[in-house]
Amino acid sequence: MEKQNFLAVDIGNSWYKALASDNGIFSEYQLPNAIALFDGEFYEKPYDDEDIILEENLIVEVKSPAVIDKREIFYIGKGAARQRDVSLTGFNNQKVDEDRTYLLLFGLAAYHASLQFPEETDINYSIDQLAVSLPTTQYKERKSRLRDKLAGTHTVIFHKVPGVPEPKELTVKLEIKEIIVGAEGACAYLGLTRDQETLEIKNEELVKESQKGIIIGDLGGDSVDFVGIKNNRPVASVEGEPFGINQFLDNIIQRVSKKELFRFDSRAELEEKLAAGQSEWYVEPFAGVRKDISKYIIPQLKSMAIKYLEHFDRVRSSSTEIKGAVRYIAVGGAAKLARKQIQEAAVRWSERGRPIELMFPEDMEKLNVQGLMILAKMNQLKKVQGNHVISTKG
Amino acid sequence: MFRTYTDYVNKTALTLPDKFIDVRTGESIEVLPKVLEQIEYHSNNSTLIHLVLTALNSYLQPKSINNGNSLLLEEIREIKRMMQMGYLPRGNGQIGKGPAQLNETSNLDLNEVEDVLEAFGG
Repeated sequence: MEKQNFLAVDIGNSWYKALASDNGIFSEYQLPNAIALFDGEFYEKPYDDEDIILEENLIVEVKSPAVIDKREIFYIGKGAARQRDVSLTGFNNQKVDEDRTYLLLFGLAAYHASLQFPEETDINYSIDQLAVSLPTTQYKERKSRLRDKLAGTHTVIFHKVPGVPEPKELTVKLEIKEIIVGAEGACAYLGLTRDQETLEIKNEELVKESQKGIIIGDLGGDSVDFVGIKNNRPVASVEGEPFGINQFLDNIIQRVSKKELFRFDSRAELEEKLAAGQSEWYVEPFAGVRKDISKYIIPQLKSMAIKYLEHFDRVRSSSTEIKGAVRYIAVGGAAKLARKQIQEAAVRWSERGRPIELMFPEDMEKLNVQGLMILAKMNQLKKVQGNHVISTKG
Repeated sequence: MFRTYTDYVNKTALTLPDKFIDVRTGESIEVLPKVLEQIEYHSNNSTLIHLVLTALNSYLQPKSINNGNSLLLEEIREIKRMMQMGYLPRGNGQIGKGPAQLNETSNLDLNEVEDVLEAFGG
C-alpha cells in the first residue's frame, strides 16, 4: 500500500487532542482550545531563539475558504492561553460555524506537518484521511457542513518561528483529501473495543455486553455526550446535554482570583494543575507564598459529579432501547479529573436504591481520538478494498 | 540580606540579594561565594562595571566563546530537536508495537468495515 497520512482530532471545548499516523509512525498532541489576536507591538523579543518552544509559541495566519480572510494573525493553544485577551470557548458553542475551530484545527495539523519536515520553510503536506468529532447534539445536523468546510487546500503561515531566519515565517500548505466525522462518545466505544493496528475487536467481553446495552457518558468541557450502545452499534435515541467542566473551572478561577489574588491564565492552566493531583493544588500569588486552593476545587468537582450522575440517571431511564443496560462507562478528560468525586456521588445513588456502577477505563480521556483514528483507517480500508473489488470484477 | 558593593570612581553600585532568579529559566539560585569574591575584588579595583558587562556579554552571547565546539553543539542541538519531537527518526517505520501501517491483508472484511463506518461515522 502507498504511504499514507492519517490525522484524528478530537475537537474538545477545553483541549484539542490529536493522533497522527504518518506512514505508520504515530505522534500525539494536545493543545488548549484557546486563541488570542496577535499584536506585533506587544511581542516580546526573546533573548535567544533556543529559549522558545515552537509548540508554546504558535502564531498563525490561516488562508482558507473555511474562514473569512481578515488577514488576522492569532496565537493558538498554549501561547494564546498566556495572552491577556485570550478567548476561550463560550457555553454551548457551535463548533462548525466558529472560525476558532478551523484556526486551531489547521494550525495543529500544520504544526504536525512542520515537525515532519524540520528543515523546510515551505511545506506541502497532504492528509489522506482526516477524522474529526462533533458532540452528539451537533452531529446529525452539521456533520456534512463540517466536512465541506474541511475539504480541500488550506494554507497556514506560522510567524515568528524560532530557528528560522528573518522574516521567521513558515508556510504549510495542507491538502485534506477525505474527511470522516464521528460523534463524541460513540468514538470512545470504538477506541475501547477495537485494536489501533489491526482494527479488529480486542474486547470481546464488552461487545458481548453490548447485546444487553451499554451507556457511555463522555464528560467534556461544555458538553456531556451520552451514547447508548446496543448490539455493537450506537442507539439513536440517546442525546447529549450542554453541561461540562468549564463552568466549574470558571467558578474556581473566579474564587481563587478574588480570595487569593491569583489569576489563572486560562482554564487549561487550571486543568493541568488538577490533572497533576492534589499535591499540586496550590498557587503562588507572590514569590514564596503558597496558598492551598483545594478548598475551592473539591466542592466544585463534587457538584459537577452530582450533576453528571443526575444526567446519567435521566438518560438511562429515558431511552426504551437502552433500558436494560448492564454497563455504564465514564469517559472524557473531565470525568478523569473528578473520578474520586464521581465515585463518592455514586455511593449516594446506591443508598437511594438507584445504583450507578460506573466503569472508568484506562486512557479514558483519549478514547475518542483513538476511536477517530480507527474510523480514519477504516475509511481508507474501504476506499482501497472497494477499489480492489471493482478491479477484480472488471 | 542585601549587600551593596560600590565603585565610586566609575559611579557603579550593585546591590546583591542572597538568592536571585535566573531570567532565562526562572529558577531561584544562591549567589555563589566565588561570585561575591569576584564582585568584591572588582569593586575594590574600580572595575565593577567591566565585570558586569563581561558577565552579561558571555551570558547573552554564549556562542561567541564556544566556536571551537560548534560541531559538538550542532550535534547536541540535533539530539535536542529529536527529543523534542519525541519520535524515532523518520524512515524507521515503526514505534514499539510493530507496523502501524494499514495492510491490505487485514482480517476485517469489507462488510464489517462498512458496517462500522455507517454506524459510527459520516
